[in-house]
Amino acid sequence: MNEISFWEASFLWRDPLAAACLGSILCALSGVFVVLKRSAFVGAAVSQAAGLGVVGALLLPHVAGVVVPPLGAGVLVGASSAGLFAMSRKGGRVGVEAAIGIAYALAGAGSLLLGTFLTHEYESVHALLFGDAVAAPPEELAALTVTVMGLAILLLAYGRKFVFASFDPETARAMGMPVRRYNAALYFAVGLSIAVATRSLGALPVFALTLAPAAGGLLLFDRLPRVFAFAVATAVAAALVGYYLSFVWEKPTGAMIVLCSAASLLPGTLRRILR
Amino acid sequence: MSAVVRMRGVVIGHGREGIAGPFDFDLGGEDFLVVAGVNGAGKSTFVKTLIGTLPPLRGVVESRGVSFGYVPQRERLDEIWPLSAFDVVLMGLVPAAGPFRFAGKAGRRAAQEHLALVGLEDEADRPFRDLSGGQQQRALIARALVAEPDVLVLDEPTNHLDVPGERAAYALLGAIHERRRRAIVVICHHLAPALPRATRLAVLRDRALVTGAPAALIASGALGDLIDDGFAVREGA
Repeated sequence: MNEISFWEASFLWRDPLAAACLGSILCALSGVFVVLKRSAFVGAAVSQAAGLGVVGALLLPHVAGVVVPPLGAGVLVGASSAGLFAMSRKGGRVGVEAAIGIAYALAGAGSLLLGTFLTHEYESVHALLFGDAVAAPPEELAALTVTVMGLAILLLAYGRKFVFASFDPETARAMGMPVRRYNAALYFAVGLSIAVATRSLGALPVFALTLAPAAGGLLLFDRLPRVFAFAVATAVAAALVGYYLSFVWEKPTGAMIVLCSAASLLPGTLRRILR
Repeated sequence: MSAVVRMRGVVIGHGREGIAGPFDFDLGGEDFLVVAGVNGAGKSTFVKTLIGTLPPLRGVVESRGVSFGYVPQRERLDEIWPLSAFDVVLMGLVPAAGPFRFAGKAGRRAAQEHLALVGLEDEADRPFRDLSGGQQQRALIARALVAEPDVLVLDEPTNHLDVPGERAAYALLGAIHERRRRAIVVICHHLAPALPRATRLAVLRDRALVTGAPAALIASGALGDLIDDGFAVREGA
């Protein structure tokens, strides 16, 4: 057990906890679409693609003499890779799941191969991508806040169009909607959210927080706004409780958040059993 | 009423492969058009070209300013989505709505009226996925109509419906056509319940499009084995 209490150590956890909460909101909002569009592995593929972007940015000064901020490049490549998934049509020859799997494998292999041309910097790729769950510099908090606000505004503005284009693309297209553009925008927003959240929470918690709260909401409710509300509430609760338990029990923060996020599945599962 | 869609010298198909054509075709503003043909004849391709979601391989399709309401095959919809029947109908107003525009009172009233039109006023709050096949079909028709389109297009609307459900669906379409006097285009395999409502029939066969009044086409033998022997269209059926 820690020698100082959780509350006495508030100066240690205040900023990282705020970052974890903001990251969990991003995961929950984008996660509802990820689960509904049956693209569960989009988070894993985005992390790999972001890695490729970081490695590429670290290599650029050596090969082209151009300096690009590695973190920005990682986030941009990660988000863009998700945007490309929109190119695979529902019911098309190559499904979204296959496109995500191919992107995951290619991005992973690409970063490994390009990484062989780097010497010292390669060690910093992991730190740049996954950050540190117990530290949150002000610029990370700012990036998270801006992304949460941007995603919320985007969903308020175009959420209904995203829902229509995802639920019934054939009809949306027939009624004049540019479905592919809406899908690309949605996947880009999801990719950006996941890339930014991964920096503050780590890949595994982001993967869990993208799926479990949204799945829990879908098990429990028959209305989309309630699913969103449930997903956001339980994802934030998982971040808060997971952080607290990891402190008092001195266990890894990411793993504890993942375990807590699984609790969001309980109400819906119980409801189905009791039916 | 004049044509709302004009096709001139059109070849339909996917990629470089032509399925049918070249042909000319006009869709009248009050037509109840039934599109028939064997599997692979190009019924869906014809309709997608007609409504502009698939470009023709050759020729011109004109439908300037015409709005389409569309009813897909409902088995293509994923039941994972947590939407009520009302939500689904309201979706019909989404394409025309701008950013941050929510369905106002008028939109919600229109959705409620269209649910009543298809006989689902008491099912508005039920999850769409919990509705029966026939009810889902009617909710999708209400969604297609709520934006008051010039042309209503239905892709095999009675697939997997039982006989009473199929009859009810065509009775509803007949009533809608009677009341609104707008064009309706229906792709279907089972022609018997559809033809009595139809004012025109389009048959895709051997890469050609043959159109005309249902009774005349049946008499000419253009339908071939697409209908049972001895089938006849009775007026007012």
